[in-house]
Amino acid sequence: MPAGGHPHPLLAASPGTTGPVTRLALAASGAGLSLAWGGWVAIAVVVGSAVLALAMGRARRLALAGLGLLPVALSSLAVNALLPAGGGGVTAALDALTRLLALTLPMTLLFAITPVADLLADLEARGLDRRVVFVLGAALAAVPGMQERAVGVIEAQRARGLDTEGSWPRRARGLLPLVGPLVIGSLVEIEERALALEVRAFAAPGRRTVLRRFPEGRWQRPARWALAGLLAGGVAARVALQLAGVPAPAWVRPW
Amino acid sequence: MSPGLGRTVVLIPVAVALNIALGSTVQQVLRLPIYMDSLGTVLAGVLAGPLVGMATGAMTNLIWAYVLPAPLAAPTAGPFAITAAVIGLLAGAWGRLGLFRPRPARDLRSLGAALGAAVVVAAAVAYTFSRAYASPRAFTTNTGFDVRAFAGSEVAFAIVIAVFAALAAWALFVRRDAGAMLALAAGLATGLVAALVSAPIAAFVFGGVTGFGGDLVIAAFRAAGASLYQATLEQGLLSDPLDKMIVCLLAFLVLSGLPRRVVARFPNGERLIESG
Repeated sequence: MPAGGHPHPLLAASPGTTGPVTRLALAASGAGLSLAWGGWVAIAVVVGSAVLALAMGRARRLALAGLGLLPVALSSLAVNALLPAGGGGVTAALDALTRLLALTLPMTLLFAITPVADLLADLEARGLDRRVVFVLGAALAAVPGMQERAVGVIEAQRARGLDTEGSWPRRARGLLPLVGPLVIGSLVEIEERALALEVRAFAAPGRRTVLRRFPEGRWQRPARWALAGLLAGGVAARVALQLAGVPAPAWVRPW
Repeated sequence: MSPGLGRTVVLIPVAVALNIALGSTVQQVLRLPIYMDSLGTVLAGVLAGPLVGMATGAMTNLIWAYVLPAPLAAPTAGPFAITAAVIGLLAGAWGRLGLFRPRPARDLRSLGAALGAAVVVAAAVAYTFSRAYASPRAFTTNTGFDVRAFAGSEVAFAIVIAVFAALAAWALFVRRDAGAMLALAAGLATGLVAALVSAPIAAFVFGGVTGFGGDLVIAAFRAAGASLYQATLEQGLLSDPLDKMIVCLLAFLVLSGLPRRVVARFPNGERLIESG
C-alpha cells in the first residue's frame, strides 16, 4: 500500500482485479516456467514483470531486487567469460542471469503489490491450516526484531572487549560469544510465547470465522487452474526432453 | 494442541528469524568463510523433528529471497530452499537418534561411543582415499571426474578431514564430551549430503556462480578441466562439510547451555537431555 493509504486502482480489491492467491499463482507459474525453460521464456517473464511494476508504481522495488543480483552477474561474467578456460562463455553467463532474474522478479513483484497479511488471509479463507498461517506471519514479523537483537548482542560483546576486526582466528573466537546469547535468549522466550498462544485459545477446536474475504470474479478460479496446468505441463515437458537427451528447441534459445 | 506442538509452532518462526539474522548481520560482522544461515534450521530439526526442520529450512530461504525487501533480501537464497529443507530433515533424524545429547566422557560407555564414531569416520575416510585418491587413474575411474581435477580434489579432501580431526580432538580432549564428537560427525555427513543436493542447483540455476567467494574455487576447478557440475560439486564438498560441522557443533554447544527444563518441553527434548 503506498504511503497515501489508497491502493493503486489496478490493485483495489474488486471482482475485476486479481486476488492475492491468483497473483501468487501467476507469479509462481512465471517463475517456474522460466526456471524450466530459460531463454525467451525467461526474458518474457522478466520484461512482463518490469512492465507490470512500472504500471503499478513498484519499479523501484523491482530495480533494487535486480541490483541484489549484481554480485552474481559480475561473478558469472568473470568466471564464464574473462578467466581462461574457466567457463561456458558470455552466453552461459547471460542464460544463468536471465533465468535467475525471471525467478526473482515475479516473486518480488508479488510481495510488492500484495501485503503478506492479505495473502495469508486469502489462503486461510481457502482452507489453509491456521497454524501454517500463523507460522508464516510470525516468521516475517520476527525478522526485524531478531536483527535488532543481533545488533544489540554484537555491540554489548564489543563493549566487553570482543574483537571482531582482527585476524580470522580472533574473529572465529567471537563466534560463540555472539551466537550463544542470541540463540539461547531466543529459545528461552519460546516458552512465554507458547503460553501466550494458549491463553488466546489458539488451540481451541472448531472452525474460525473468516473476517476478511476478497471479492473474486468468476474468471479467477479457471485462470488459476489454467496457470497450474501450464506450469505442470511445461515443467513435465522440459524434464521429458532433458531425460531423452533432447536440447531445448531453437525458438526458445536466444543465444 | 499439545504443549509440545504449541512450542513447535512458535519455534519455527524464531528459527527462521535466527537463520536470517545470523546469515546476514552476524556473518557481515565476523566475515568468516562459513554461511551461518542454517543454525536455526538445525536447532529446529533437532528439537522438534525432521518435518519441522524441513519446513524451517525451506521457509527461511523462500522468505529471505522473495518476501523480505532490499537490502535485507538475498535473491540467491531461493533456489537453495531444497538444500535447506534437506539439512533440516537430516538434523531432525540426528536429533531423533540422540546424537546431540551431551555425553560427558566420565564413563567408558560414552567414551566408547565417541571412539566408535571416530573409527567409523576414519574407516570411511580410508576407504574413500583408497578408492578415489590412490592414483589419478583410480580417481577418474571411481568418481567420473576429469583426471586434471585430481590434485585440487585431493587438497579439498585433506582440508575437510584435517578440520574434522582438529575439532574432534577438541571435543574429546578439551571439551571432554563424547556428544560433541557425535554432533561433529553428524555435521560432516549433513555437509556431504548438502553438497550433493546443492551442486545441480548451483550448476543449473546459477551456471555455477552465486556471487560469493566460492566462485573462485569453482573457476579453479573448471580451469583444471572439471565440467560445470563437477566443479560445483567439488566446491560444495569443500565448503558444505566445513560449514555444517561448525553449525552442528555450535548447535550442540547451544543446546548444552540451555536449561534442561527448556529443552525437555520440546517434542524431541527427552532425547537431548543428559541422562542422570
